Amino acid sequence: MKFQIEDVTVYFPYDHIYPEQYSYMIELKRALDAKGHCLLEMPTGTGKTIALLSLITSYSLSKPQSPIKLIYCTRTVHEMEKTLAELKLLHNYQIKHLGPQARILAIGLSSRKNLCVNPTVLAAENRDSVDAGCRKLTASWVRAMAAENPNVPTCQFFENYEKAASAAVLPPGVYTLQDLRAFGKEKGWCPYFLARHMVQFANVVVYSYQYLLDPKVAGIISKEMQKESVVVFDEAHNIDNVCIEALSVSVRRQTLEGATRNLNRISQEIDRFKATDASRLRSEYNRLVEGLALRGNLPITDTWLSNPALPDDILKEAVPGNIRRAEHFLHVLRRLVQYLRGRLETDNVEKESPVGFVASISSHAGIDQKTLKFCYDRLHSLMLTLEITDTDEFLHIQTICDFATLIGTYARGFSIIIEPFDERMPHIPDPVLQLSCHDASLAIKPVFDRFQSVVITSGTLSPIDLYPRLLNFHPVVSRSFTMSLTRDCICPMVLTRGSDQLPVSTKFDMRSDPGVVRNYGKLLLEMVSVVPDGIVCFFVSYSYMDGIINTWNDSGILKEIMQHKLVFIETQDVVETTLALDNYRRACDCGRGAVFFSVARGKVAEGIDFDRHYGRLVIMFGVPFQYTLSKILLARLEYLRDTFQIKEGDFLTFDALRQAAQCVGRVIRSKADYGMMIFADKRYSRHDKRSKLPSWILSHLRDANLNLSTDMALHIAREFLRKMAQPYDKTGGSDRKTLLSQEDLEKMGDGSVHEMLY
Amino acid sequence: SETDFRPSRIVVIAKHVEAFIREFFDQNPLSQVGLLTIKDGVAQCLTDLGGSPESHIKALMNKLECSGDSSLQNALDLVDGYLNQIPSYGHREVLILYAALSTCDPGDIMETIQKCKKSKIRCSVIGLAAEMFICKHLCQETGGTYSVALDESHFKELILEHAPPPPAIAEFATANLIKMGFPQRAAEGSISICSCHKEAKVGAGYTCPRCKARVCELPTECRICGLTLVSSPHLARSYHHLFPIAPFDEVPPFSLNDPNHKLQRNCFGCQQSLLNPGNKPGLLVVCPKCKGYFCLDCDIYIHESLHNCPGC
Repeated sequence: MKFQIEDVTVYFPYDHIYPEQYSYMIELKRALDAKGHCLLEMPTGTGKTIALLSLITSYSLSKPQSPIKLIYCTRTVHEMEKTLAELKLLHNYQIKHLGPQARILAIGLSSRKNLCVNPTVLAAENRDSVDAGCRKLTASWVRAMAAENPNVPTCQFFENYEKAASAAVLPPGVYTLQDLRAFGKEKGWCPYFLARHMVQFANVVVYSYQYLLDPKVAGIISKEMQKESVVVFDEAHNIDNVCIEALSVSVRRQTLEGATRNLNRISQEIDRFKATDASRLRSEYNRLVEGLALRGNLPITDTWLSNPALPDDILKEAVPGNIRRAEHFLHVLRRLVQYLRGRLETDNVEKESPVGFVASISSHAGIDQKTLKFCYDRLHSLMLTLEITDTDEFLHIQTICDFATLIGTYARGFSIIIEPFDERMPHIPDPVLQLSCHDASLAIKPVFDRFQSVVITSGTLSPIDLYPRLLNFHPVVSRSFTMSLTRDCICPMVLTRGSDQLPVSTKFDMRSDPGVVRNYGKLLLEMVSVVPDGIVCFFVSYSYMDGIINTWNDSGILKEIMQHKLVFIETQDVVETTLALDNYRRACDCGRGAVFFSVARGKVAEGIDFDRHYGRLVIMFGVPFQYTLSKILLARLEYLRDTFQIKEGDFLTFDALRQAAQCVGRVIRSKADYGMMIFADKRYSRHDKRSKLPSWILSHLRDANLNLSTDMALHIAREFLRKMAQPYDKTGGSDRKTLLSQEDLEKMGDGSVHEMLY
Repeated sequence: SETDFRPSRIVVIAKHVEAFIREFFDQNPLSQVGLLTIKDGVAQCLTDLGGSPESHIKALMNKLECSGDSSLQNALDLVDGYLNQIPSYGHREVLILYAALSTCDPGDIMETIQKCKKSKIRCSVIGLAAEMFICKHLCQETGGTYSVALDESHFKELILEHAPPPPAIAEFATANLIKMGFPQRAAEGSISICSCHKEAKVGAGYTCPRCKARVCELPTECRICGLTLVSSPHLARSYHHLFPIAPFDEVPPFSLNDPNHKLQRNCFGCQQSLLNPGNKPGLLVVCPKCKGYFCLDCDIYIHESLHNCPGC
């Protein structure tokens, strides 16, 4: 269907549109008009992705004189593929209606691991080894050597791509990763480098968050993007954590040992070069004297990581004199590693600011701040000079230099925390030195500054006013949309008491109370007997889950549960969890029924859908607060209070509730679906907690369901499941239209859509 | 253990199954029913396929108990074994009343569902508590219907919906000739030994047209020569879904007074006078085929119960 939104003709590939998608597009269009950033919350299963893609591409088509580029960031490769598939559908539709002028180039970009087509490189098991494998075949000096000696292996695909030079372009179209690989195989060109090259020219680029937020990667991939771009962060409820992780480094004992090994290897290499080709080292020295940290224009294959600091903070200065010579730099690094090792030997938890830490490095190891700052670039330059290709072996020393550059650059928003052991396992010494970033706005600031519109969207962004403060930006539009439903297909409940009327909670002083554990067990036991197929349970932490399952096992509750349904448990091992999930799905499919025990903030809670019969009920046992004694969290809370005036309690509640909403949101992935959500903790009934849930959950949370005991919840569940099993009309009655056709849209102005939604 | 149906699920279900069996035979006198129970992880045959409602109901009432897990797969396997022997012109249908919310199966139920689909068995499920994926899948695959009962009256409605046969699917139904006998009612008052109960009985029996054996009830199969014995109303009732009788035309009252029209004075069906007391003409209808006149009561009876015009 196609329709007008103000001056833009929107091409939408389906015959019907949900009212909330329509209002979403209107808000998005206004943000684009204003060339500002926006924050939009819309529940999952309402077609956010297609609404976004459809509006932005149509907007770009309607203004051919100033085309905008769409940069779409997803969290996982799977989401990337899904987005590109939707875009393909949309693109075909637009071409059908507009003809060839609607042609766009859209590509997905991922790591070599997902794009490489060279079988020898792909044989490596992890990402870093694939990268290194590629470099071994494509680095400029390897290729130079191969030109002289045909026995040196190179990558045929890359050679062909280089030979084709400027002729190597992708014809317009939408390319998923699979399509790119197929295209590369057919032409004999390397899909990875082709994609990287085409990113500059593409109208739509779909890639991972890191390519924009992590300065180490963004410096290479996203440097050339034009300002007239719309950046979309999809599923962005955890964007602050991604930003923080991009600038945080942790150093363990293994890292230091590895770094020492790396240094030995480097010094051997230096000796070898001195003996054979001393002129190279000398020319590098001369270059550094002239103030060029890196050789001007590196061949595309030789750049792998750029400076971990943000672009604005990198000094355009010459490398300080004391590390220009390779041996001297090596000595500096050795002293640094030695110093860090000394700091890790501590018995107490230590917390320090970057300024203090730099001062103490300077007095103990004799390395000043400026030297630290240049460590990363200097290492990079040295490794290029030494022609090192197996970069995956040198990750440890890179981590150390990464750390050095960050502490050398930033004085605020960071802290250094040294913990001799994990708080939860005080008997096992596992010293770790963490440089943790507290300010999410640091990493995302360049993105906000560089691009004209940044769209942050997710199913759970409530409370929506906190994100602008955390990320330190001013959105022109921030809105939360509810879901228009033909029937009440979600049933949230707050369970505050067990069947014996005693309150239940995972509050610290109550969580080990046998009464609470028993009541939780009874709740699950009752629920497995009335809910068909799949049930998902989320606990607040691994340790709590282990504890409660053990207790249930001892008291026989677990056995009774297993009479009704099979039990699967998420563990920290990815392979084990994947297997458990797979079997869980099979048990749901064949009608045996299953319960999945999982942890909020775990992998399952973030990325796995439990739609349809895979999740008819989700129980959130407790409020998933972060581990509040964690030193990093405390430091971050302090920073947030001092800098952004966000109260500790507010942030903790916000963070816990967004996790809870994320967990329970796993069960509803489309409007035809239905599911129940039980918040099993008395604290959810308090207004300050509850009000932070997204509005699409809150609007279905009836007052009568705010303070339930187990037997009442059971009764509601029975009624709900019976009601949902009845056949229903998908388009909705005449009074509450939930699917709009083209005529419907033409008939009404904007006003009536708003009336219908709110 | 569930208390959503009072006094208990099993009692309520048994009550409505009884009503269903009666209604089913009323609508499809030529069909046969067999009852299975699923409990303790196995499926057991309660009654073999047969045409007598009484024997089914008796067997059902004697065996009212439930326990253990249920296995949909075992049930389907058993059903498949029974229904496979049915000749190709018959409908094969299963109606599953499922109270459990899970199924404990020994093997892959998906294979069993495909097997049912292959042998063209239409499976329908009525759930008692909530929608189960596997049941929905089963019904979708085999072309049946899946419904979940809200309460007792809804359950009754749902189960009785299954009494009329579903529309025949062209590829399923293959034309085939079957031999049938239409026995006559035996002479009243003569004593003879019936072939079904093996006792001497007086009157009220039928004689097989081929071997002259005596049977008590229709429809049945002759014990002696194996001929299917039916009466024509049975056939008509069973096939009225396929060949419904045309609706009768209403006769305008004034035509009664038309002297040119040679009029029947009595209803063809009940032989009652068509004129109301006081010689005023009542409402009457005429069969478009045989031109017989009927009163309104007979019209209703013929169309809704008999499915057979006595005139033609």
